[in-house]
Amino acid sequence: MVSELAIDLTMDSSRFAEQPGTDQELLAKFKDMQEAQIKSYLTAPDSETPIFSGGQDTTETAPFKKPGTPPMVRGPAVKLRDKFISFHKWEGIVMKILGDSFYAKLTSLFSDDPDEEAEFSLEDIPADDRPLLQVGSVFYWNVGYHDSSIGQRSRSSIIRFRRLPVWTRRDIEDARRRAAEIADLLGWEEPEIPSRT
Amino acid sequence: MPPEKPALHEHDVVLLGDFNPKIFQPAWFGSEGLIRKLEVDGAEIAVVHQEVVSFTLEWLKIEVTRERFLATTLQEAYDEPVRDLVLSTFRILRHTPLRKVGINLDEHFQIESEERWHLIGHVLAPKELWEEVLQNPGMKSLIIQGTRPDNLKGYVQVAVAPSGRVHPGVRFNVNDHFEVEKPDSVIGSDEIMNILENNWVESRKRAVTIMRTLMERLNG
Repeated sequence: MVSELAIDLTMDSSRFAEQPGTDQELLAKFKDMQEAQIKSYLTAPDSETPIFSGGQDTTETAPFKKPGTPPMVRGPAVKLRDKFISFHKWEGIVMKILGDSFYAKLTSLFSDDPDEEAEFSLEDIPADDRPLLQVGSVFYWNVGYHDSSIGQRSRSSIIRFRRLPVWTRRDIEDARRRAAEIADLLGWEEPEIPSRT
Repeated sequence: MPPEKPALHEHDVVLLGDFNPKIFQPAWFGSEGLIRKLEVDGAEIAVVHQEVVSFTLEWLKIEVTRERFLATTLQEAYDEPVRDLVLSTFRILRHTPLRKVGINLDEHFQIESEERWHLIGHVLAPKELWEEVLQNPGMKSLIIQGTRPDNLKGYVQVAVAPSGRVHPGVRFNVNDHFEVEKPDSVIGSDEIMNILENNWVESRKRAVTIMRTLMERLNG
């Protein structure tokens, strides 16, 4: 069942039906896809609610009644998946890299506590993230509990390095040109920036 | 008393604009270095089609249609990586016309008893009025919208409903919605990406404060 918080297509059906790509047009176009699968992707064009409930809120929600209502009988439990529950989170910046460890400045993302420094083993970094390790790299460090799909809980932490797009030569030239335009608008003299090959 | 932790958490960034869904496949994200190679290999692809793409990683779900891009995570540890992924994607695809962005937080809280749970619904939507016109009325959902607290175009919308996944539980959804100033003349992604980058931290704080305040008032 679509979540109560999703757009109710039946309410907006008249407006929705006037726009291209309505239910019938899309169903005809993708006749090889199962009807239910296509309909699961349809939503109002300006909706910001997820297309999929995708495992979320698939059960009928019982409404709030007035106090004193007798208790309800619930359906079968939802299947558990692995998940990680943070009880603290930091943004880290790599300050120094040693042989088999690195030092980082940590800023709490959960509180206004002062920044801290900590040393991490290189073994703590997932293999795919190790090429991202350099002085100045940003990473996120979460400490919390890992709950397995069978209900086993264990203390755990996650390190994930921030991944940003590589600046191309064209990006840099575009940025220089825009900076020059802005400087010109403000009446600033353009500084001499040595060109790099 | 420390603030209550939610039983379930979901964070979305939703973009409304003009997209070519077939670009947004795991292989593309991997080739741009935006996700790990192992994640590309392990991606669960629901559909790849010119009209719609949807795939899931361990921490991320991407859904894209011609009009909408959605990146979502169910784990709080990955809220910042979701933001970073969206920013990086549309810095690369900077000519994608984007008109609106929603920074959404969705959390489910466990309530101590059904009695208390019903009381929450009664506080939000007192039944006396509805008992005059309906038999045995119950609140299914409530949506309240407020104006933005900054000088940006958009709104802040809060939805409250019984949780369908935690019982007895309450679900809060905060939709922090931003729009470009002139939607008819937008030609790329810069304005929306600047809004996302400059407002994400504040938006998160606002959403957490809204939920925390409501829970304290409703749950005692």
